[in-house]
Amino acid sequence: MTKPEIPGHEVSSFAQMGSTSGMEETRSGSSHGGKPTLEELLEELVELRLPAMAEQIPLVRMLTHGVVSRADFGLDAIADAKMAVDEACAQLVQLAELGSQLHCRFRQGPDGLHVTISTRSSDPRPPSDRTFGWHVLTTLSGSVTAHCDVLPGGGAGIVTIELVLNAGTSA
Amino acid sequence: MSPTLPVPSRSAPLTARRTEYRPGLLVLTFAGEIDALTLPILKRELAASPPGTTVVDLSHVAFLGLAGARTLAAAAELAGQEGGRLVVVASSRTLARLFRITGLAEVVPMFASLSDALRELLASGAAAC
Repeated sequence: MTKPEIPGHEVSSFAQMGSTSGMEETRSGSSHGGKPTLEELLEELVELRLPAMAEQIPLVRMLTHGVVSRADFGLDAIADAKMAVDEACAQLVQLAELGSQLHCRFRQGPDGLHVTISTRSSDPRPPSDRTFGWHVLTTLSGSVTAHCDVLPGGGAGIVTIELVLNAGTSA
Repeated sequence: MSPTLPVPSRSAPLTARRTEYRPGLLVLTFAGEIDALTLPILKRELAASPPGTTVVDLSHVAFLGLAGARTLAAAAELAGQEGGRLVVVASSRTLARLFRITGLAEVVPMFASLSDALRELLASGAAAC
């Protein structure tokens, strides 16, 4: 998949993240008995990296629409997915360090579509789970979790929100 | 009043049009997407609304995020405290679902079309004629 000619943006697809054994499994499960097709690769993992700015969130919504449509989500579930991803991105953009990137990953799992969104923050704390936004996220998603990994040296960290989206909407 | 709605573009992803149908009855028509980027436009237009009844027409809105829903709820609450009223026109099923999921439907009266909203508001005397 070629990278779009947009500065500061990167779109890629992988069979597995940093796991050669995982890649072997994907290949062995291929209907062609050899190299997995592009479609099979895309079903495994789709990634988007872009500046952590509000202006960029519509692009994430567009990608979400495309990914969940291909995953056979119904109209209501597509709307829920876009809304959930939009809110997760908006929360992370508020926490993001100036000049940092928003890293979005879409991976199909047995329990649904896993969407992992992360960014670097100078105040590494996960978003509060007591807000209106978080409450609605839990309604729109099969499950939602947030965590923070403090980087060596302290003072900064990677804040991550992970959503599991289901084709059958929960609301 | 111009019948044509300003078209949202990359430089202006959300446009707003203000129409005073009667004294004390303002219609705010939005077109485009209401998200973290365009939220200030929604807030600015709502803040500039005069006392009375405001109809927020979202018929041409393709996407409404949670921040936008929160803003509408707060504006409706404020309007009520000031003796006015804020209602929303949301013709799409997606927006109606968002209102239900967020509980906004219990706070803000919602209509399927602008004509429905105006008919009921004028019949109930919500706007001074």
